[in-house]
Amino acid sequence: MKAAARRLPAPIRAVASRLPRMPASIAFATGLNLTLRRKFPAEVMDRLEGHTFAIVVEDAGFELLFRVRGRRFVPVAKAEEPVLRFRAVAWDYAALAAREADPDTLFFNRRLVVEGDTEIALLVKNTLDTIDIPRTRSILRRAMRAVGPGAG
Amino acid sequence: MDQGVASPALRTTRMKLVCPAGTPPALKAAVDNGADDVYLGFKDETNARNFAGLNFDDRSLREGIDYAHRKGAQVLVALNTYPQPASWRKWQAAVDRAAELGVDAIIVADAGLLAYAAKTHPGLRLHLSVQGSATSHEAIAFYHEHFGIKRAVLPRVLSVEQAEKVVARTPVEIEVFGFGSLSIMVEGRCALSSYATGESPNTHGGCSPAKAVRWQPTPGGLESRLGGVLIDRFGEEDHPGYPTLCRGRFVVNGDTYYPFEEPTSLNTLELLPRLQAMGVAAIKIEGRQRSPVYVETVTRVWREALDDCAREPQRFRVKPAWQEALAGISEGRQCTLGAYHRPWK
Ligand code: SF4
Repeated sequence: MKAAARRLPAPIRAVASRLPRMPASIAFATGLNLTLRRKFPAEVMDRLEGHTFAIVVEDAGFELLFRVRGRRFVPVAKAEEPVLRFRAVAWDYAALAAREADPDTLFFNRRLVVEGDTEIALLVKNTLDTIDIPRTRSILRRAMRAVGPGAG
Repeated sequence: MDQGVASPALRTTRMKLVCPAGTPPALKAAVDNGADDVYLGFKDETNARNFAGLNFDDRSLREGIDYAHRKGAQVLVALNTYPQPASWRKWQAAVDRAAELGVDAIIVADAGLLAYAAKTHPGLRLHLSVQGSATSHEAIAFYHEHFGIKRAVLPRVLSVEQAEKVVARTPVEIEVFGFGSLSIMVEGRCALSSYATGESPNTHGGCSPAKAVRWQPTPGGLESRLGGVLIDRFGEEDHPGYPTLCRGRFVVNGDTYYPFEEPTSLNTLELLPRLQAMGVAAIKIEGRQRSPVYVETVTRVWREALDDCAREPQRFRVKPAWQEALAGISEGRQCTLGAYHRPWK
């Protein structure tokens, strides 16, 4: 029931918010291509084709932007209105990716805010739920344990 | 005037745990954490959780059945919407697919589809869906005599006493809801969403189709709309729920409130010994639209609770840790006993 989110420590926040945005988006899109691209069914990638997505890491004070083009994730420097914008703190994103937190619960608790096209949001959520990336997950889980208790 | 458990010797039959799966990882989570049955649907309107990206195709279902059977669990396919004349073949084909893939049972609401399944696949086990809306032993007897159903899922509108009477008077296994979001109207007969979306869950497989849903941040709070109809507006401290009309807060005669019912989740852990003593055969967990994390958490808690209850029903106590885990993944802030315990019937 607790709704308090775990936020990044202030010093990390200060550094993160000053990081240049584009390299972060490039790294993120590359990561997506490595972990998710081949796991996303072609028809889902086609449905996402041409759309821009924004991931706001609230406690780090920055926004990652990418678009789907030619069934790949490509970084974007500036967004025209993205089809979806997610807002959450870094810890909650990590917990979602590690399958330590439930997206609907974060949404009910206002810790995950989703703005934009509901149909695409649901498609993305359900597709992510369908995917098994056990190795990435266990690395994330371990990293979260190392940082401290209180996940999800 | 019913006072507690009627039978002095508590039955020791173990109730089955029936868990939801919208995706293969959710199926694995259910099986790995002790579900006896896992229920799921195909990727179309033949089931009542017809959402983009959710549900199973033939390949993932075949793999899911393999996985479940290897670990001793059963797979039930929900075909729980009502076929329309123009699309009848699609439902028929879905029954055939389920039978060919070797599922352990199908969960069906429509009498025509039950008749088709009973005739075409006499060896296929049939469960009557909650959407069939059978609330009396007479209704269940009808489905039993005509189609040979082996199990019926009771709608979430009966009190414990009423459910007890049904169980006592039917030879059919009875499954009841134990946990999850509440669908508060009489299941299978709710057409509320048609008003806002032109679609009802009974025919299209959902009462908040994503294409009709809008979440809008406004200066007054986060607004949820269904087909343009304002369902609710949430302040910073409010907890939004699913945007269905039955969960809406509306202005009625100048007062703003939830005219249908406050959005809550059902949680019947405390009733387990009584349900077991009554002879309930299975407990159903709602939530095929939820994530693998949800399925994992609920299945783990309910497995432990059901095992405790089967072992020593007299000493059964709901553990605070269970309630805490369940509260952490519930829709809305409160959990209730729903209609099982209601002053009015
Ligand atoms: S609108 Fe509410 S009561 Fe009606 S089917 Fe949907 S969830 Fe159930």
